[in-house]
Amino acid sequence: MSNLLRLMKQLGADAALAREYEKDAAGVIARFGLSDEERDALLNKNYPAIKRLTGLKEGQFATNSTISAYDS
Amino acid sequence: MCTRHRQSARGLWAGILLLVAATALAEAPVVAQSLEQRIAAIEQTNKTAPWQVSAALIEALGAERATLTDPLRFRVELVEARNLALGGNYVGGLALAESMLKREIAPDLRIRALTLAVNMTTNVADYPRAFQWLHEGLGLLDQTTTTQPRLLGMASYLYLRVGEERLALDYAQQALDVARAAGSVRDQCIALSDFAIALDEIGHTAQAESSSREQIETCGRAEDPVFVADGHKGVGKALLAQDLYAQAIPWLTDARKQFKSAGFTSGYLETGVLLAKALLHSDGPLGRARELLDEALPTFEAQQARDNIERTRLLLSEILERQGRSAEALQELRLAQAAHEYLDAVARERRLGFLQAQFDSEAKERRIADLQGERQLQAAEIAARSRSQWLQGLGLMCLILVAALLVSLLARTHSDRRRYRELSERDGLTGLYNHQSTLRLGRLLQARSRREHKPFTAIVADIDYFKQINDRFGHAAGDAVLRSLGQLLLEVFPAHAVVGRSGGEEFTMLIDASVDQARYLIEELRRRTTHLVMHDERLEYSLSYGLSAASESQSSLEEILRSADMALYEAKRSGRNRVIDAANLPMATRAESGLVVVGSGIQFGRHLSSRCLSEIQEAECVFVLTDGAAHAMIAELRPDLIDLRVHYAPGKDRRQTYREMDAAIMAEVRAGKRVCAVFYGHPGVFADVPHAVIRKAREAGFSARMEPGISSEACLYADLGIDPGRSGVQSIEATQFLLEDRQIDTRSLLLLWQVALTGDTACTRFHAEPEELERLVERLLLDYPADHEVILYEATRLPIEPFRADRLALRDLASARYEEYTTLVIPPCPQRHPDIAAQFLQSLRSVGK
Repeated sequence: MSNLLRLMKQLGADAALAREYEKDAAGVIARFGLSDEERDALLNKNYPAIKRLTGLKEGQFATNSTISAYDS
Repeated sequence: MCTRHRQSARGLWAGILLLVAATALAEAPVVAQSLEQRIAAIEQTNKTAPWQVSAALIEALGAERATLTDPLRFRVELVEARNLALGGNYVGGLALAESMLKREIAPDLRIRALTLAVNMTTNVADYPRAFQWLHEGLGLLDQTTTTQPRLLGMASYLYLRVGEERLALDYAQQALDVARAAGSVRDQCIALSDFAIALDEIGHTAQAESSSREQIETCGRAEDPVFVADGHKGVGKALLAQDLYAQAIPWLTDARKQFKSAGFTSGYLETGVLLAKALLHSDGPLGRARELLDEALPTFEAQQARDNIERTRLLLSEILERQGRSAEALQELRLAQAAHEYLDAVARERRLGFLQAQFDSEAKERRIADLQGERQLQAAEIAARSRSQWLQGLGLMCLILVAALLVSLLARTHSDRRRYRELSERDGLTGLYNHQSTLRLGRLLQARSRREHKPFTAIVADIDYFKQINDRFGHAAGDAVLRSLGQLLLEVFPAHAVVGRSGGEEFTMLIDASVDQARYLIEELRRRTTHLVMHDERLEYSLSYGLSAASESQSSLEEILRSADMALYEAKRSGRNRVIDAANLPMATRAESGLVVVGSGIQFGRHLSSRCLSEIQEAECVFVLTDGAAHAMIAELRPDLIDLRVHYAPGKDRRQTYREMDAAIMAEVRAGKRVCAVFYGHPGVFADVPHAVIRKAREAGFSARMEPGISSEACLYADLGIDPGRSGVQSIEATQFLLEDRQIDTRSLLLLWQVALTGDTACTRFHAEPEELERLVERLLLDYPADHEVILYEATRLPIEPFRADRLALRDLASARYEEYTTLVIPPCPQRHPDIAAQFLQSLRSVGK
């Protein structure tokens, strides 16, 4: 798992880290050892880039894993 | 396309086609031929080359096609129907054949169309129609001077499939006679193959062997290597049936080589399974037998060829048992049983189709006889009226008699229908319920026992060393034991118990009684089932029993039967002639396999529950269908995870994708593993695969459950601060909302999912279509004002990203931005123009029709 993913997972699970990130995003990012590209994307709130870097853009899970009643 | 040579024949034709394709392609189009000659060439190409070649030749007819006479046009359409079926489009092929059969045409062409139609309906398992058309075709045979061995061969095949063995053999013999008298060498070759199959199926193995030997010679003259190989296989199979295992080995080895060089994979693999059996029973190397089975099984599984799967797994089980690997042997037996159950259901369907067709034709004959009788009586009445008044009275009496006759015939019809239904539910030999009926009636009995708070127990019993009885005393003695046991079971078990023969020498009894009460009945049965006297010889036999009671931990019939099966296996393993209660089995022996479906939530690190995490960690096998981020996080825990996203493909119908996912998950469940399947969000909300696979696992007797996850809808309530309890909520997928003409209660919150995919009934689109969105807006404007504020909502998947909640007027929806997972949130408002809404819905319905 990449450091970026590890950070995302921790930010979701750890309330203290999430609060710290709101106050000092750069500090938290530095501690997690992210690449320059990852750091820039986070600090610039470039969400499409973050989704690409975390793999969130991969696959068609969101709609394809669901199905309507008329399918059956 | 022909499937009538069982599983192998599909491939048989494919093999033939491959072999001759190149030659046919070279010879295909010929200039300066008459139209008649060109159609004949197309027909010939259709038999010997891949179907695309004849399709191209038809295409090349161009404008000349309009000048064809009716018979020639009919012949071209016959090729087209066959091509549709060969291309896998049975619906199209059948529709074309059906339209052709509505036209007036000479009997020989009509028979050809009927033969094709029967073949296609058999392939799609529409047996009632198959028999209906077969009967029509057979009825036409005396009106044609051309020979029709293929229709007779088809009749043989269909009658074999419904257990009418004598009829099947008669038809196979007729097909052979006709082919020998006037058919081509190739007709004779195929008819000999049909004849050998029929003889083999009804147990005339020596004659089957002889027919197969003749087949080798005849098919050699016809220069058909695939059917030559099939003949070698037939001889080997016949020798196996006569327990001449060592003699069978060279024949089967030759057949395998020949199939391989002809490129006919199915024949090659099926022969491998027969060879494995021969090796197993002639003390050949177990390792070689195992190799042959392992080579064949993946292809059989991919083809879903249940009969081959059952044969292969039974042999695998035998090998594993000899190697002392009992648990694996049991697992193979279970999988063989699953295949057998499927085949049983299909066989019952075929039998019902046959009985229905038979019933319909008998009823038709009776109706004709009634009408003729009525007409005669009416004539008599007219004559009587002209003669004298009193004769009119007589005529009236006759009419009353006819009415009485009709009433009686109606009653007989009902009684016949009931009798046929009963016949289809019973095992022909013992008169007990067959396996499918046992399960159906067992479920009813179990539901009743649950309602009445009564215990429920399943017993499975198996005759010990039954093969030895057959071998030593003959099959007639084996049948006598089965019949006698069937009678005893009916005497010992109370009338309301469900008593059935599950197949072979295995029986299933289901009763609303406790384990102790069931044991008492078993002991009574054991006391009475000790021996049978046959021809002054005492035939000793015994049974092994497994029993299992319903409990909180195993509530479905399949689970209870599975436990009883395991107990029976233990009874067999520990020496036979004994009774084992599943509750007394050690925990390690009991089923630990099963399925749990868990939700990963929308944000993996934030929403995954401790229990779901633990399920992922503890499972033997993990399937994952999530976004790439969650996938990567799960992969860290489980590097061995199986990615379900591989089943998606651009333009592929998602419904097919879902069924492939089911199959992948179920294969591991059936293999006895503890399986965990992880799905994005809540696995049970707006998701097909999780529900389907849980249902299938339970039907197969495995435990299966779902652990919830945080859904997008759950996030929506939190993010937007909406309490659905205050106004109520209507929540539905957008396309479904339109298709089903749902009435809106505007006082409730309305949530429309997948609004971007509105109108995508093909299940292939992943983007928004403005026209479809406008149609949705048009529908919503009937209930809401155009300036009603709506929200486009997207839950956030990143912990640092804000959720999307774009507020806009309803009228502006079509021009907004959409992701595949955008949800449309329509807050409540008072209902307006209910009459106009009703009119719009009416117009939608009429368009839909």
